[in-house]
Amino acid sequence: MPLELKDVVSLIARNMESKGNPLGVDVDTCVSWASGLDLDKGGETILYTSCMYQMVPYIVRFTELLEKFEGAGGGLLLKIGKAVSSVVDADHIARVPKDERDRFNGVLRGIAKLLKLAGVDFGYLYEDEPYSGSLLYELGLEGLFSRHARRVVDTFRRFGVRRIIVVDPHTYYVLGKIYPRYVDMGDLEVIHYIDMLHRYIDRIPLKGIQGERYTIHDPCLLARFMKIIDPQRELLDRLNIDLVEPQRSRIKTRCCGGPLESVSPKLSKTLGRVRASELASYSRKIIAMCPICISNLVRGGRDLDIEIYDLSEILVRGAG
Amino acid sequence: MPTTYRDVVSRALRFREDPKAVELLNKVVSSVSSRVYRVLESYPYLEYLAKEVSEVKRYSIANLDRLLKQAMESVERVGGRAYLAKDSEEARRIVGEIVGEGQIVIKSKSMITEEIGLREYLEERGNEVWETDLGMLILQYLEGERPTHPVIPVLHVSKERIIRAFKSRLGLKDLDEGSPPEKIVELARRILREKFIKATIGITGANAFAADSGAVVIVENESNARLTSALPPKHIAVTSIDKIVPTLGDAVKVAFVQAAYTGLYPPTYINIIAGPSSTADIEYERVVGAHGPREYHVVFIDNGRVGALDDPVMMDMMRCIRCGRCLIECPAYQSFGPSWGSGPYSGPMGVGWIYITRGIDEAGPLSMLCMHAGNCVEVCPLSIDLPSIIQRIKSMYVSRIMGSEES
Repeated sequence: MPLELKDVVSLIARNMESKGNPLGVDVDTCVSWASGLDLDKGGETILYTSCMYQMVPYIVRFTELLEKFEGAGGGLLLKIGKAVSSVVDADHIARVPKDERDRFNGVLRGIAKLLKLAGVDFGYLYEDEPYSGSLLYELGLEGLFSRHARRVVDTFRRFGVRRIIVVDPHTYYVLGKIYPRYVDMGDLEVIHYIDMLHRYIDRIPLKGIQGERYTIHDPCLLARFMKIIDPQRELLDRLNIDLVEPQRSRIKTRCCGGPLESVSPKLSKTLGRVRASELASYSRKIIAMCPICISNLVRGGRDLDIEIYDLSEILVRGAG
Repeated sequence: MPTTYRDVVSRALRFREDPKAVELLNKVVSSVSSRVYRVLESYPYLEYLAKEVSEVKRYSIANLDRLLKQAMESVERVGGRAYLAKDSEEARRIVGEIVGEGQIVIKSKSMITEEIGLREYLEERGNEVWETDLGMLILQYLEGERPTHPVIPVLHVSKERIIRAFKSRLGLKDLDEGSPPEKIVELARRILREKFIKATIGITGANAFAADSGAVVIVENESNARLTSALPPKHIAVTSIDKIVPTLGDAVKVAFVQAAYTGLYPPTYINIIAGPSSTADIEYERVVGAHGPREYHVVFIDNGRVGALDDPVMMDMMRCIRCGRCLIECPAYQSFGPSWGSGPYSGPMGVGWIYITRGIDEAGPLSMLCMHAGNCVEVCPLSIDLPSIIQRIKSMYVSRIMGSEES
């Protein structure tokens, strides 16, 4: 029995209200990646995570839980609500293995490191960093989304932010294309970290890494909507890796199924499976660059012999 | 029966549990896809033509009132009769009155006739109605099945099922599971030949309608639309108002682009019908009714379309020429195929057309399976902003089901 849409949407709306993000993860989960990095709080240029990479292990678990309810014929908000709070509750945080959390925190640390190597100066909003609201928009909750977007922009203003470096396609898309429809962005500049690294590519000491074969998965939002296709390839080029382009890549890339995660976890997984298998036929090492793609390719590729990397993880290797 | 969100997800899940259906979908979708790319590569001018058509359609929907009036006047001027139906019911009634009862009626493929349920209505009124497009004939034999692609209506039906349907309907012995497609085509030809001759009414749709000349333009490969519009004494063309373009030249361009972006280019036939058949061979005096129809009727159908023009996002849908390319490249359609649609409309453009013709209750649940991957707008020959259209439907639907919880 499929989930009742109203249940899922209410749960997400409730989490937004109580914790400010769709899964209801707590603020420590979102900010702990930055500990020890000595990033300034705020500043003209900030790195904006929207807690997306940090949530990946929770998204995977949340979706797998929803999937159980989708199969069990339950679909009751109460049941889902309880189960979800057990995934993200501080008391049960150990349920998400530490190494998974560390890995995705590491992605952000890697991005921060690369930006520093590129000579980019940036701060971070720590516990004041808001979630972008991208999932609200994607689920059609436009009323909630537009109110949320105004608050997010107010926060940026309050901290004197002028330039926002985003790290994932969903945040980039809503900030770049959707926010301006609902809220006055003024002179706020939004830039993707891949573009930023590419701009200063010669400053980053990228060396060749061991000759292994990789394939690449372009996120739909990044390639088709935001047209970032070549910069990541030119960066990878500096590493001299053997990169095999799948037939469906670049502008013709195929969806990972991620956007259906909360609508129908099963259908979403099916698509993840299809895309993961397709990519696996090019190489077992897959370079992705979106936390939603990664979480869904992980779910879909559970029983495939594949390794999914974030672009930044590969670039960091080349940066020594 | 209203579709719920759960129905939509259940149908998609069920579809995925049928490996044969999934395999068939993969096969057809990938061959159509590569064929379109091949056509576009071989005939580079088509992309320019598509851009031109894109602008023609933009102009046409912005000037719909005037063009509709002109189109109806042109039909009368070339010796036809023009009608305007505001909804399905009125459209069925108008066609029903022209047809009458106890007639043999032949039809060519037309999604608008599916939209208004014309065949069933005419049958109820005691007419013998035959679909002459092979795909549509197969659907007629399968009873209750609907087209799942605007140009390839039986994209989801395997050859085995087609053979079973033909066998059970016709009691044929010389047809078996292993029979080649040629055999089925030959059978259809044999069955329909007699109907073409005996039919008193031929009903066609239109790929485009030329306001300046009162002409219907129909693109096809089977030659059935050609026979349907030429052999019976009466020709009824049924068309939705969004098909109207200013000139005959524009209309032919629409047909070119529609064919190309379905992967069928050059099309075998483009039919232009601008009035009843006639001759002026005797002292240059026009006599209506030569070898073709003596009567030419054109029924223009609104059915929610004018309303769509009030919405700045939705009005872009009205430019759609139903080539179906957005379906072929959409990850949701590629995965859920026939289950992601209802009535004659499926896929990304289907969600938009279902909204326009049947409203939010039908379109809303379907919109939730859109993954906003953006392939549709990327490959649409007219660059229709389908992701924004579907997003708009999603948002209307979600605020409806959430009621006061989300406003």
